[in-house]
Amino acid sequence: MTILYTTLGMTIALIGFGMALALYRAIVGPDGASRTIISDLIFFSVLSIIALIGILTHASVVFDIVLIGALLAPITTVALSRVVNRGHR
Amino acid sequence: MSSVNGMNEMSTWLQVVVGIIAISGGILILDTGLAMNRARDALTRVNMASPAIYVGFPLVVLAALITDCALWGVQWQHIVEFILLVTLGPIGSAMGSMHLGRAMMLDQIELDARTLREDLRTIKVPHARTERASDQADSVSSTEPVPSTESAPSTEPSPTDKA
Repeated sequence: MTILYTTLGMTIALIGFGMALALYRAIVGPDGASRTIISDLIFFSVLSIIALIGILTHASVVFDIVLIGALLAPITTVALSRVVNRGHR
Repeated sequence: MSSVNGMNEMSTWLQVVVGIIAISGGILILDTGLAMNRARDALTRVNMASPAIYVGFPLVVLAALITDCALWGVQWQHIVEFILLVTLGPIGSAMGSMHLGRAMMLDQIELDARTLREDLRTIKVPHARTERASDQADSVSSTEPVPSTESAPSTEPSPTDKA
């Protein structure tokens, strides 16, 4: 299992670095729409890390968590886009 | 495969396959993080987020599914959950992106000069000439000069004004 653990550790590092870059842009980012889509990206990155941790800990429940999270992700995007749009429909 | 406490041992080649799939997904997410910094406006960033959300994330979950099936045996619940994930997840994310794009359009965010909007108003059809000219005049983000048209300007409000 050494190969698996090594590659999954590398994947978590890659995703973490990507999240750090996205967070930097979210802090610096000039407008709210950019922050909205970056929050969506970070949401899916966290779900990916949860799935990888589920592999490492041999937890089967991660599929339920990831499925619920992925299906609820558009709600956050829609809510934040309403904020960008100042509540207009 | 040997079984220890109900958990099977993964073969080396399967570990390599899972690792390649997972690293591919991780690279796509990292690539998207880089693209967020290279993009110059929010509309481009929305388009740049697609590789991570629609390909990278399902690849990571696919790696988790293969590992789960290799360690604990094939469980149809997890396969159904994975199918739901890769079918309904992108549909929901596309709806969210569409809503966000609509919000950006109504908010009239500032776009980079090199960004091509490529909306339906740029299609050259004869009956849409006057409306296209009036919309370009209303657009704050457009940096190009409004082309002069021979016909009279339209008195109808643009879609952004209706909203």
